[in-house]
Amino acid sequence: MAKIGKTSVFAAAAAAALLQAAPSGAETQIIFWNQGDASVRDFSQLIVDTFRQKRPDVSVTLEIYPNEPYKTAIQVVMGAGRQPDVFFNWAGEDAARFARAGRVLDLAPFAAGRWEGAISPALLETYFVEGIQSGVPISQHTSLFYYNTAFFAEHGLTPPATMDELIGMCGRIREVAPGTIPIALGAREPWTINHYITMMFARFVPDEVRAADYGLTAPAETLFTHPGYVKGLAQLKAIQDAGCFNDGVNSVSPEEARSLFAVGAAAMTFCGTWCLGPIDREGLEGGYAVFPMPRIEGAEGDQEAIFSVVTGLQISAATRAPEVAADLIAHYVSPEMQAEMFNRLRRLPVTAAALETLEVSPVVAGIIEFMAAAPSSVMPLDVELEASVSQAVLTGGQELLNGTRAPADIMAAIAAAARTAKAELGR
Amino acid sequence: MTQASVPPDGKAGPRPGAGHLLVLPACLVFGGFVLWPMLLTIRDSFYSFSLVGSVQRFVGGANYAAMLQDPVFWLALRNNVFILVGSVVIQVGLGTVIAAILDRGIKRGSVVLRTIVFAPMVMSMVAVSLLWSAIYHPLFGLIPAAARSIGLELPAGGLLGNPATVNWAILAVACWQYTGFIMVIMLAGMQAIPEELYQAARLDGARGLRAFLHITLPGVRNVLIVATLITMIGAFKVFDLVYVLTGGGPGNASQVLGTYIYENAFTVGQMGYASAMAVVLMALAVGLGLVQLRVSRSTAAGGR
Repeated sequence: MAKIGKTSVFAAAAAAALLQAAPSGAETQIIFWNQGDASVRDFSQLIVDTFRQKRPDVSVTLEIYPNEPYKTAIQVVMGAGRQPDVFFNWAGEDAARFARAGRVLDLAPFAAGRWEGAISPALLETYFVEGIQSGVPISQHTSLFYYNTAFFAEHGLTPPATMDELIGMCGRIREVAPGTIPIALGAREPWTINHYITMMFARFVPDEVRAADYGLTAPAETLFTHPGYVKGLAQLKAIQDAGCFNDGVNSVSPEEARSLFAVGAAAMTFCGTWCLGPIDREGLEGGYAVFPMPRIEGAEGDQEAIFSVVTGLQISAATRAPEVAADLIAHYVSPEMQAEMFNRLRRLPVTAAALETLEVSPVVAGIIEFMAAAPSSVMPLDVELEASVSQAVLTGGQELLNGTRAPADIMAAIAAAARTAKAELGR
Repeated sequence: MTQASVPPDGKAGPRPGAGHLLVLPACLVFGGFVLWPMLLTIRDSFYSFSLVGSVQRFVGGANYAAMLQDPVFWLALRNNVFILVGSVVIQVGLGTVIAAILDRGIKRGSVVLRTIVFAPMVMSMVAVSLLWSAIYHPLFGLIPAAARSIGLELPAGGLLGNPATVNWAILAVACWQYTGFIMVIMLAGMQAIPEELYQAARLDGARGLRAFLHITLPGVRNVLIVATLITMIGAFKVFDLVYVLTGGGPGNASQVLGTYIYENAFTVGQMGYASAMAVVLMALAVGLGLVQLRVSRSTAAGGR
């Protein structure tokens, strides 16, 4: 009998390994990136598993990143790496950045038979940038003040209608319950301050001025010079100086601030509807209600504008399976998956069909009605603004709350960043 | 073939060029993963482009000119120098003293003490940063709670949230982790000092501090210099500690070159500008590395 040489054995083993590793010729592989915590990971896995049932010929590799790391990771991988076929992204400048660079597909041709007619044109428009439908919305959010209803009832407090009333309420809370934080704020990740600043700018600066400044279309010398911006920052500082926030805001994370509210250590917190699920899970389900950012008497801006951010999915221009990628998005925005998203994550769907099937609490019903009735909305600055201008706002927010920089100086830095960005972009 | 290269058994030595062949893989890895990216970074520093953009615009020295006028760049460099000076004084100073105590001071318990001091070194920097982030936490942290219990008022905003204290807090964590590493290096150096020198010194009446100053320190002089240089290079390269603890905040108060480069590259998307700063950081680190190399060579030359 002939001896089997070592070389033959190795060759056979290598061939076996390769055959095992190689996908079947008919299976399409796509990569799906999403951002969020463990609950989002579990929901995303559900999306992938149920999609596989519909499409057994498709294998989906799921990757999940927490919020802050995702913002960096998606930029890095879209710039130089194995790009995900389908990935999460915020509407506004975040989506536009990729559209400008030609890194994402125009999804308009894929709409028919998938999400066409299911998602309102207004929502789809949030991803219509640089002349293309750069993404598809999967969830819509607004930010509101959450308040502990039992605490309010116990101390005879009512939701404030004006900023003066809110500030007065903080003082009252400190008097009647010295150990309770009036408003929990976690600014270790400065986007949370940004949400306040977004609303302050909306309240103090006229819409048309803001639109020109945010889009960098105003003349360079006038960018971000409206006095309302300084007043807005000063108003935020006044809220802090009135003792509304917890100590050490720049050292407390957003999750910790939310938990402070959920466990009753804080009477209020300003958070997005993405907080509904976590607050419920942390034990305060049914124990809170919401009110919007109060009006500011005498301010020039829009007193009715609500905070609004739309999140969605985009498809990489480098994908080898655009139809499959579009099918995954269609699956994500199907009524069944959108309803499941709400049930598991408490995130508001984007399709009317899903909204109609939901069993919601009075609080959530009120939020949906509030969003539908809002005459205008503003996107968060870290999503709306060009990256370097956004960074100047983020940095300035922490310096404002530290008291290390005056509002006027912060706005001067933002204006300088805006002038540079305008020149770079050639607007 | 020289006398020195003829082996005792008279058989032929290694073939000429065999040594070069053996180091070739390492050279290829170095070239591909260190040298080539370094050259690309230098090239990129003369361009303006974003991470996802497809257009690279040649701007000459504009990135370097902008850097000179960027107050945050100078603040970051100043913070690096602060960490450098603090690290040298505390890590090297304290590490040397602890090594001396372990070498000649205490007999019982020296292994336990050595382990305790060195233990933080085996933890990952990210784990250390998360741990200390919790210890410093203004609402739940051990340090603020201890301070409040004795009636001590900590600075507003918390140790990591106050611009006046954040860099000291970061320095403390770095020293906590790396003092043990310096201790081990210095202890090895001290244990190489001949015992006869100490015996002769005892005969002359020199013990304790005098022996440390006149025998130990001169005996570990070169090791001390190398340890100092390693610490200095580490201070310029620091990134993960600051990134996890503060992200460079509050505002830009704790920015170091590493985190500011990261922010410009991956958050703001100014790759060219980030590359220019990376070139400056590389020059500083290479400069210190060359000094270290020179000292090492003079140490080796002095030892023959």
